[in-house]
Amino acid sequence: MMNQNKFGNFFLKICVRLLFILFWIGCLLGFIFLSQEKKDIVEDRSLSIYMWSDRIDEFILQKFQQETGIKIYVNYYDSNEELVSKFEIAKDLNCDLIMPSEYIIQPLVQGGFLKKIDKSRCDFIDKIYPQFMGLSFDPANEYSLPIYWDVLGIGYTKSYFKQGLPSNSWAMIFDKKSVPCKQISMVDDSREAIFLVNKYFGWDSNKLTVDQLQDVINLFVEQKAWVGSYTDYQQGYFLTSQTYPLVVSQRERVVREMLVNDDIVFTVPDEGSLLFLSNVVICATSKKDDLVYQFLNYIYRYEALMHSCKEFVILPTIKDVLQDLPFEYIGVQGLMPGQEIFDRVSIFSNILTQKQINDVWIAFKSF
Amino acid sequence: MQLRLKNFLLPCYVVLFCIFLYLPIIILTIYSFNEGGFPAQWKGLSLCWYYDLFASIEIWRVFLNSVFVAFMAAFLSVTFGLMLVYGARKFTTNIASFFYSNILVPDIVIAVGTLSLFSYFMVPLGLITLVIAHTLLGLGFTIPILKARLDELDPRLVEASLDLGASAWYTFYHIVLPFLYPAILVSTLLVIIVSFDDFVISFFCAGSSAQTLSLYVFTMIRSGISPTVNALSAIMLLVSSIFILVISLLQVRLAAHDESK
Amino acid sequence: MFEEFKKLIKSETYFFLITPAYMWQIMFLVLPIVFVVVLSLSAGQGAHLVQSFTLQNFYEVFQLSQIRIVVRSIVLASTTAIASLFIAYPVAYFLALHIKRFKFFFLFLLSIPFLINVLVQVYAWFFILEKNGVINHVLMMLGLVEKPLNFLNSYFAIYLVMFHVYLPFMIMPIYSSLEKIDTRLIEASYDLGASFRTTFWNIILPLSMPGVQAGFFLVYVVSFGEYVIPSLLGGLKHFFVGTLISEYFFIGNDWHLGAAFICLSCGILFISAILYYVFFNKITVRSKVIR
Repeated sequence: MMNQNKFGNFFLKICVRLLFILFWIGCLLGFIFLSQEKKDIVEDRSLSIYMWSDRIDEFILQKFQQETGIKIYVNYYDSNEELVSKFEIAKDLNCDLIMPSEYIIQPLVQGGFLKKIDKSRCDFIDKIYPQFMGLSFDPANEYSLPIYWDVLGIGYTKSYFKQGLPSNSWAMIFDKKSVPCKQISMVDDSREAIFLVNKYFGWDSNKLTVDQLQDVINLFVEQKAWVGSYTDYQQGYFLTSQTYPLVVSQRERVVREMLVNDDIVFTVPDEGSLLFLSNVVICATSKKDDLVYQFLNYIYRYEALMHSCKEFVILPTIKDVLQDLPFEYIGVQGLMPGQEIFDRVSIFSNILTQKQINDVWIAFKSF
Repeated sequence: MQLRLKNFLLPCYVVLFCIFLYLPIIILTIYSFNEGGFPAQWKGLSLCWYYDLFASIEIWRVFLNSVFVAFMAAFLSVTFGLMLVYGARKFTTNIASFFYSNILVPDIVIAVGTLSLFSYFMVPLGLITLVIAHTLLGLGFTIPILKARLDELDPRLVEASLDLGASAWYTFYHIVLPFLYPAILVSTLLVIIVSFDDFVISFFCAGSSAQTLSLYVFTMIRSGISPTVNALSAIMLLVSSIFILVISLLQVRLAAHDESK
Repeated sequence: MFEEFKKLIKSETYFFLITPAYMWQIMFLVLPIVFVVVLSLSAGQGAHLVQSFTLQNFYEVFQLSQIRIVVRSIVLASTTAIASLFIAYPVAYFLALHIKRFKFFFLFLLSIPFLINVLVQVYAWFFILEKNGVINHVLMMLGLVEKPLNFLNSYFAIYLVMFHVYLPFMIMPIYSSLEKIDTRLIEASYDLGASFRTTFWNIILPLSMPGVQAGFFLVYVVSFGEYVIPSLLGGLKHFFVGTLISEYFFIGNDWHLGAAFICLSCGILFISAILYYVFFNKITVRSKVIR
């Protein structure tokens, strides 16, 4: 009789304790999901966009909202790879439009995250330079349309190189005997750096063998001796503060400083260089097609593109905008599509896996 | 005390040490009043960077995010810490030691683990996940402080109150809580400072939508020198110092109070 | 019956109170760490992050490059801990045993750097060390150099700022253990005719060992996983444990390898910490004092 009572008591105790635990867990989960609720209340006449932080100006988004009454919610992201993993984890990211770089479009398409673009609803298609359409990552431009482009090159300070640069070749950053100054700055992106080595050695840019990759690593290790810093952001600052007289940089960062500083020059080496493309893609889960195309047509408009390009010093893919862009925003002669420098630049197709690219970077930075 | 060189050696060393410790920050503060951007150009005293700072909308937004996270984390960790310390007051084993690992485990491991956990369970990263992670950090600070203070409470006071017929809640609210006020205040301030100062966990767990003050300063530093950041750093320094002053005064008052007993 | 139930709840209120804190601890400290270990032992993509059991991640991460990076971080952490130990000890000693008044003021002074944002401190050093910064400005004004020197983006900058940032962490533990020493022991030693050196090596140092160990391990473990300082001041030329983990998770996007690397580096950290612990114990035993 006594034993039964004790057992009953014990059992009740456990029940009560479990109840308490469940109560607290419920509080926590409720707390988490309550805060998500607010985010999910998105009005009907609205669009959710994912893009880099310097592609479309707030001003343009506000004007669009005023004109059409469609509210734009912008989410920023820092890296393209992050996009893919975000999509893989959460099937419905509640987004309508993304502005990714060109090399990530194939993985996105393969994952089934994108919707085909109906080109007949875009009134700007024929104004895009043909050189930006039909490239290897999306041969028929079924899923993406290019909007901005940029190139990789070398920025330097004129006053340091009084007789000008010794040569216009990538040897200046890769060959110990041709480096014109004590230290330079290099890009911190593995993909871009591998492409540059490819161009420097004159290899076929559609194929990279394991041996070639090992040569790349060895070159990077050797190059470390005269690289002061690896960065994707600080190149402009390095030039203006004269920390390093020569930097490897996207054109955008150098030209931004060129607008206020006469001492800085940008050049694209003779062997050729990397072309970047920002594209617009539509998410597969988007249900607001009308609004999406309205927005697309708006941001491709002459005034909107011109404003964004001047604000962020990037180059548009639309013919009349690029031709009307003042030279100081372009920064280097012969860069227009069809001209000599443009013919030297190309995109880097996805011939290497993400893992191979990572391994190169880890291998040489571990020394 | 003889005035030999040997006697001066140690104090001189300590003074040099303090100078080394404070030099960068003092220089930073001085130059935040400099009108020119770079240290090479001293253009005279000016508050222009402070004006820029206060006029920048983005900094206010980021600051409010940080404030939200800090206060929520402080509230949660102090409340839970209080509940734990009071609920476990009769335990013989030292519960607080279980929470020391919060401070000892490297930030980056906690950050990465929390990131993986939240991503796997598809909890969107943002301010709320940040609050959760900071509360964890905060628990590691509040529990030792509150426990130390609670241990000083004479248990006979509590017994006496209960004997005289007061309910448990009344006892807690009118006897235990006022005794713990200084410790509660100290731990709140401490958790707020720790939350504002935290960078690694915000970097990993805030996602790309939520920006806190530390993340903002990090982005600015990555792009080079910016005099507005000078002004911002000077202000953060001032606020931290005020907080620490309050904490130290409270602790001194506690010590003096105990001595006088 | 109802009365009994009420009594049961009352006796279990303490459990109700202690649950949230414990729950937080388990859900957000223990579980994430367990999850990291699980991640390192599994393979899978995207939503099926934990799909199959595999040791492949560990094979891939146990390479010369990664080991070199871990060793580099261990050297950094050790140097920081040892250097700050030697520099901070005299200050803690002075504070604990030589100052009678103004203790509060000194403690306050030494707590401020402890709680300033790391980024603010890094930025302050950035400001001082960069090419147009204060040091170069002073050197050029004094005519010692013609062109400004590059201090940033080097090992020197990393080590210097690590040392500066972790110095305050070392003072507090040593100070608290020095303060607890019974001053009568020291007085007795002096009364018996011992010199300062003997007193120090045989009485003060061994009795302060707990604080020394606490401070050392605190600085060692925390500075091992440092991310901010190597990333902002090193020019990203070399990987450290912190920056490599961030590379794996954000840029490389391979969470399994990242998790395996965390396990590997924590394992090596743990082993090295045990080695240091044994070393400390040997010193303590050698200079043990009979109380």
